[in-house]
Amino acid sequence: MGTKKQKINWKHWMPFYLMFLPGAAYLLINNYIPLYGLQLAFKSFSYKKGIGGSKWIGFKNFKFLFSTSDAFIMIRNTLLYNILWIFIGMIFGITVAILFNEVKNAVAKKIYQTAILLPYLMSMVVVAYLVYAYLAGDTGLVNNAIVKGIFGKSDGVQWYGDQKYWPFILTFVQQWKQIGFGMLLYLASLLGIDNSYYEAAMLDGATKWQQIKLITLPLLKPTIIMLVILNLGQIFRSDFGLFYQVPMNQGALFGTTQTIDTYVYRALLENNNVGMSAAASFLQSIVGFIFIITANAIVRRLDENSSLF
Amino acid sequence: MKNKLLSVLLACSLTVTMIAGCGSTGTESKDSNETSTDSTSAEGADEDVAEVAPAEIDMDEEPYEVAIQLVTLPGTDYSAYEAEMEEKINEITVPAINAKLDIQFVWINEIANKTSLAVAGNEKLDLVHVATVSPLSSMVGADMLYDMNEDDLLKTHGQTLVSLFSDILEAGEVDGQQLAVPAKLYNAVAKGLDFNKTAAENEGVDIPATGNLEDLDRALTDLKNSGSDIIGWYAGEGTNNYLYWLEGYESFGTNASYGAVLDSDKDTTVVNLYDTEDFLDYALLTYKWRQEGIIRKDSTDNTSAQDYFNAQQIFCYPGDITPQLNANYSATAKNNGFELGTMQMVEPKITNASVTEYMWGIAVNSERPDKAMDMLNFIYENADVANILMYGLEGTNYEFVEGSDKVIETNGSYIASFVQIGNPENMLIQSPAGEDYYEQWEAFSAKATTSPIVGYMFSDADYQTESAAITNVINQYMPTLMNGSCESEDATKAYVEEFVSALEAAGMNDVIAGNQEQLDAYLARQ
Repeated sequence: MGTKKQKINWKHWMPFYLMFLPGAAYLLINNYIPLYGLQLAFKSFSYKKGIGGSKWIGFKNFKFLFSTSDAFIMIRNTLLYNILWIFIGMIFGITVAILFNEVKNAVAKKIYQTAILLPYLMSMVVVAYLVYAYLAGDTGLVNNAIVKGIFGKSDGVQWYGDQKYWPFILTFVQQWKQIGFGMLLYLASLLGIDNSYYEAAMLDGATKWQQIKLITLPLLKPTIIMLVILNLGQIFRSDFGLFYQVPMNQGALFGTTQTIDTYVYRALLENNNVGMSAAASFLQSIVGFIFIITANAIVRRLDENSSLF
Repeated sequence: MKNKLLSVLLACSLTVTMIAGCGSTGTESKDSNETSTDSTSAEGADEDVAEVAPAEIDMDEEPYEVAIQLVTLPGTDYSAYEAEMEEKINEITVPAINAKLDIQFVWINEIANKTSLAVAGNEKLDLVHVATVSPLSSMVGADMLYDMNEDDLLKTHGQTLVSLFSDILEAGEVDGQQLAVPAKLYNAVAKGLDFNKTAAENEGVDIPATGNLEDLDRALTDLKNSGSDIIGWYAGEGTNNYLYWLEGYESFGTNASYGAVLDSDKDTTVVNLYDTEDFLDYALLTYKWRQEGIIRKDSTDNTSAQDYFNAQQIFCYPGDITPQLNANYSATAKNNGFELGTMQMVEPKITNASVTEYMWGIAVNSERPDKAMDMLNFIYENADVANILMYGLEGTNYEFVEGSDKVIETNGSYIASFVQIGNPENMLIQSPAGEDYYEQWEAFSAKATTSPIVGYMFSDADYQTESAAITNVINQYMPTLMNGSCESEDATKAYVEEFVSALEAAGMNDVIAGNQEQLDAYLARQ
């Protein structure tokens, strides 16, 4: 009896397993086999000897990330920008998604959606030059039209010469670029909320604000938690294009635009050191991993159903 | 049932393609193991053989194909000529040394990556471009180059190279390993200023043929006072230390990141360039120039100085001065409607920088380093092969100038921008240089001195951490100083001080001490 049942099962499941194979092979090749290369972070890599044959040097490759005063700046920048943007992104994303959900005119909806998503599809290099067109010292729109035009100052502001402006500029650019995608994620959840909740609330005389506070936000909670946990996994990483291209690689701005990724790129561009770059990205993964696990554990303790795993 | 069958088939075919896709990697990695054992097995070979006879070439085996990197400008595509060039070369090389040449055109922006990927992935590569953006210093640490001292390869298979480059060969030697050989026969380089002579004459600006920073300052001030709207000085993104061309020190690392020797003929002490009077004075000078409106662009402008110069928007820029560069730049200037002038600020000198500017190496994964060496050696013997690599095909890419069998006029369809190969004495000459081109070079070289530290290279293997930090500090401070963008003279001085202390915090003093130790040991060996 048992054997007969198994036979039937195989016939049924076989195609599914076969369909899974390409995906599994992809995962294995793309995500698991490269784990072999992690040892590079602890080795002095020699092309002659290959990955396996290179000499072990312990944690020496990690030293350059912490050995100088730059270390504090780049780690601070990476963490603070990420934490700030996780929260701002969440607030703006939800707000825009809710506003967008209220737009009923189909044509307007399409136009807004395209307009808001367009920056997300742009390359950072293009974005960098758009920003430059606004902020350039001599030809920029902001200096000529606003600083000189409206405020009547004789000298423009040297945007690319003073690092104090850049936390705001980078935050603005990042939100402008990412908001379309963030909104889409929340919008997808919003569309999944049953309309009867709102109808019932309206019959009970609930205001728009009460509907949002008491129905929309509680129902969005799982999405919010999931996105925050996933974002925390990236907390030690940064968008290289944003931090390298948009400030036009200006040395004077390093104080507020240097992140771990840009530091590694700038520092290792000259000396071709595979081990040190592997060490940096290994560290980023480890920190991200710890953050995900911790955040998830906290969420699980507070509300078991909302945790990711 | 039919549907189920279809889905099984589909899934099967997908699986098969996946597996086929990764099939080739297995065999390749096996190959790489074999090669690495091959190249290490010969380590015990005796190195101190005084006289070595040239190696016999086995003419009976199948001709080995030597892959060579030719570096060109981004966007160029010479694949149309490649096959014919190879065919013409092979007609010469197969009977002579029983080897073929496989040309690999690489854009300069990709060369560093291409080389490391080719070596890491064991792709076909023999003769490596060790120059421009992938210089010897960046390739040493990672063991990407084959040691030509193994089996006395250079002495047995590269005798022409040894005799041509005898006294500067050691520039390619690091820790007793000959990792590269020089590519240029003429290595004397003077430094100074290229300027727009037409504009200087129109505005009544007087610039001597040889001069110093004071002459430069006076000329730029005169130009400014003349009311001309051409920009006097332009430092672009400020990532290059312009002082290098104005003062003539010899530096180690990029932008003197490992220190500099100010005047090697008098004193071989390695100093922190950024902590010198010279550098501070130059920083104050650029500040003055910005205040006077001589510098007008800021460091966000990434247009190259040459582009602005050719468009006659800037008056001058610093650079190397040689007969070859003069010929090239004069022609470009002429095409843009003005005449080029130069002011020499540093006497011609043969330095480590000028010798290592262009070199050839053999990839560590080369299957036949001996054949690669045979080929390189032969190219320096046989001008016809070198001519094809440098100038392309006669009739297609260039024509002889009337009445000359040496000087050619190229039509721009093939420009080997970053290739230096062959013994120029027998090779063609590209106009606008004339038949006296080599006489010019000889005269120029005769004036040149050879730096006592020409064969010395700092091995930074123990200083990778410091190197990364120092590079970063230089990138941070230099653009502001090169562009004179500080707010006041005092702010400039303070900024330079801050720069120096940041460099010291990054470990510059340790690196310089290590450098000095290696340099002293090198000089003691001489």
